[in-house]
Amino acid sequence: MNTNPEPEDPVEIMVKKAFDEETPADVRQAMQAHLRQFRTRIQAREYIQRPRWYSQRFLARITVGFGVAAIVMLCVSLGLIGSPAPTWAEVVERFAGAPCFSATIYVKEHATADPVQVELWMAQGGKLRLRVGNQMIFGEKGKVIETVPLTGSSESSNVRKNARLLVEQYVEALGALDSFSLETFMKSLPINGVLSSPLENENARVSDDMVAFDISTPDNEQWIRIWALRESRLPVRLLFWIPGSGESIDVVLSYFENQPSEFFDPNAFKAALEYTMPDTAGAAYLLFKDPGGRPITPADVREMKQSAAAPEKS
Amino acid sequence: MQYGQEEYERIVRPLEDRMIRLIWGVTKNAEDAEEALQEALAVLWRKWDKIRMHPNPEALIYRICINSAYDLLRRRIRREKREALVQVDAAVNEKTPADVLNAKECLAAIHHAIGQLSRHQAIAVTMRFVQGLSYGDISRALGCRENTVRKHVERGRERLRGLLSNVISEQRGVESFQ
Repeated sequence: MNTNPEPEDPVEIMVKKAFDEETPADVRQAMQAHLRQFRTRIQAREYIQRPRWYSQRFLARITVGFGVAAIVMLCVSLGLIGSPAPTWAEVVERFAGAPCFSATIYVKEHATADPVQVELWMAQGGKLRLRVGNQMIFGEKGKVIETVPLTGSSESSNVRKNARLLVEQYVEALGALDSFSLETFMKSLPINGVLSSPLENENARVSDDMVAFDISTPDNEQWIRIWALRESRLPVRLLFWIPGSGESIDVVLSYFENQPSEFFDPNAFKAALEYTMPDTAGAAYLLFKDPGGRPITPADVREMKQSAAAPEKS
Repeated sequence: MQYGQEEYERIVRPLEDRMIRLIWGVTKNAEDAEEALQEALAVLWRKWDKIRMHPNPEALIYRICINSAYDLLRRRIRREKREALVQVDAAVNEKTPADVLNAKECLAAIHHAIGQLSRHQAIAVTMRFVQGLSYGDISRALGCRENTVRKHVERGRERLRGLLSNVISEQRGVESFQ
C-alpha cells in the first residue's frame, strides 16, 4: 500500500507534517465513542444480516430488468410491438363507422385573409346541421331542408358566399350517403383535377401516436393532408392548401355519441330559439348535448339553475 | 458474531485510528473533528453496501473522511473569512524561521492552502502524501483513471507550491541556518 518512495519534495514534506500531530486524548475518546455508536447501528442494520448473495441477486434482477427494457425499446423502435401505422383504407373505414362527428372548418381566401368559420355536425343517416355566419342550415339525405336565420352579424363577403356554396356542396355530397365518407368529404372541397392516392408522410406526423397522409394533384398545385390517430384510426384534422393563392380550408374533427334527434330537427330548433329569444348568444348551439354534460348555451345554465332550485318531490 | 459486526470488524476496525488521525490532521479542532467524523459516518451508513462491496473499501473510507474533514475546514474558512487568513499569513511572515517551522500557524496555513484546492485535488494529495496510497488505490476510491489521479496530485502539488511559497522559503532559510 505504501508506494510513495520519495517524499523529498518540500510540499510533500509539509503536507505530511501537517498531519503528523497526535490527536489529543479527549478528542480521541470522543471520536471513538462515535465509532462505537456507529458499530452498534451497523449491527442493527436489517439487510446487512442477509446473506451476501442477496446483493448479487438484486444486481442480477436489475441487470435482467434493464435487458428486458432494452429489448422492448428495440422492438418498439422496429415496430414489432405497439400499433402498426394505420393504412388509408383503415382511416376511411373508421371515419365511416363514427356515430356522430363535428367539424370546425376555417376557410381562407388567401394567405393573409381572415378565416370564415363554418361549423358542421353530422350523424349517421345523412342528417346534418351547419352554421355559416348567421345562418343555421339543416340538411337530410343530400338536400337542404331548412335555413334558419340567427340574430347577429349579417355582413356578407365573397368568402362567406363561397363558404355558402361550399356548404351546399357538403350537404349534397355528404347528405346523400347513409354513412360518412371521408373521400366524399374531400371531393366536396373545391379541387380542380384528379387527386393522387394517399401516401403516408412520416415527417408530418406530430408525434408517434399520430399518422399523416398526403394527397395532391399531379402538378402539386393543390394538396390535402390528413392527420389520424394511430390507435383509433380516426382522422382528427384535414388541411386543404392551394400554394398558388394561399387559399386554404382547415378542418378540425371531433367525435361523440349520437346527438338527440331534435338537434337535427329545424322545427325543434325554431321552437327552442323562440323560447330563448332573449339569449342571442350561443343560439347556434341550441339543443346540443355536450358529451361531458357541460352547459353550452345560456338556456342550459338557466335550466341547470332552475332544476337545482326546484324542491324535491316527496 | 453478527454479520454486521463481522463486517465492521473486518472493514472499519483496522482503520479507526487512521480515520481519527486523518480528520484531526485536517480540522485541528475538537468540535470540528467530531462533526467531521459524524458526517463521514453518516456517509458510511448511507453507502455501506457500496463500501463493503468495493474492491478497496479502505481507500474509499479514507476518501470519505478526508472529504468530510475538508468540507468542515472550508466551512470554517468561509466563516472566518479573510481576516483569519490574513492573520495567519501575517503571523507566518512575521515569525523567525525557527518559529515558523513548528508553529501552529504554519500548519494552519498548510491546511488552509489544501482547503483551497479542488475537492479531488485535496483528496488525491492527502491520500497520496499522507496516507501513501498508490495511484491505483486512489483512482478506485475516486472512481476515475490513474492518469487523472496523477494529474490531480501534480496540479495540487503545484498549486500548493504557489500558495505556500512563503512558508517554503522560510523553511529553506531554517535549514541553511541550522
